[in-house]
Amino acid sequence: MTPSNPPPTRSECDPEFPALPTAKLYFVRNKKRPFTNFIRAEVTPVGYFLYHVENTPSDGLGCPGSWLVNNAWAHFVQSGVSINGIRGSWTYGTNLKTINDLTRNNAMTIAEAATRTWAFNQASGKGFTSVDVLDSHGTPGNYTSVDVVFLP
Amino acid sequence: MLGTQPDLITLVRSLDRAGRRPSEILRALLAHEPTGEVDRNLLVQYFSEAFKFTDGEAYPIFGWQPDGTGELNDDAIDELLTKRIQRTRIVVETAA
Repeated sequence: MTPSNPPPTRSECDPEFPALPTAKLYFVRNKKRPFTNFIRAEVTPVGYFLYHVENTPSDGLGCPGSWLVNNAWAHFVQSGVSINGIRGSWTYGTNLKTINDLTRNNAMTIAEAATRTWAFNQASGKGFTSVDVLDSHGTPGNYTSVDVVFLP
Repeated sequence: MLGTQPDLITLVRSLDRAGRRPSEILRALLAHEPTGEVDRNLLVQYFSEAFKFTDGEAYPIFGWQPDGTGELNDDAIDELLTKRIQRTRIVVETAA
């Protein structure tokens, strides 16, 4: 079993399954960049799609993050898994940075800022366009963790 | 699953019970990695299995590196994971 063919312009994208995907866990990594270009995705007990994806270095040659997310999503859908929401669980990285940039000085709420994240772009493309903030730690502009779920 | 070894799952739990910090436990796991590679996904898997995480509680490990170059340093990873381990422990103990 191999992942679907990568985009043709991505010459450094050579995806593999280190372990066979299941109805609960999906992991694909780029053989050429195994520790910096991969996705780990799972479905939580309440049916939320949850993932962590990396694609570095950002030279446009590795497996694209959105391509990895879409493949993981397709795997669960094709496996017949019922997905009720898409989780965002951020303690660092670009999504949390967006939240902090946009909530500074109370310019936006977390829910509003969440709709400007990379993760929301992925979720909205799958029909999950509303935001429920599950938890957060820190203050506007300085959050250290934010947990959201994107719902249909 | 994903190449985890039962004896290392036991090691994670025993180190936690002994009061070792998550960053110390992560380094103990890495000390068992013969290649010296830092496979953060494997570290996430060990913590997820050891503490029965099901909602990405171990994902902060993706932001940590043993040499301190990650976005999350030892203090940050310790704070984040300790809270989550404690929360899971309460759930497990309440259910028991």
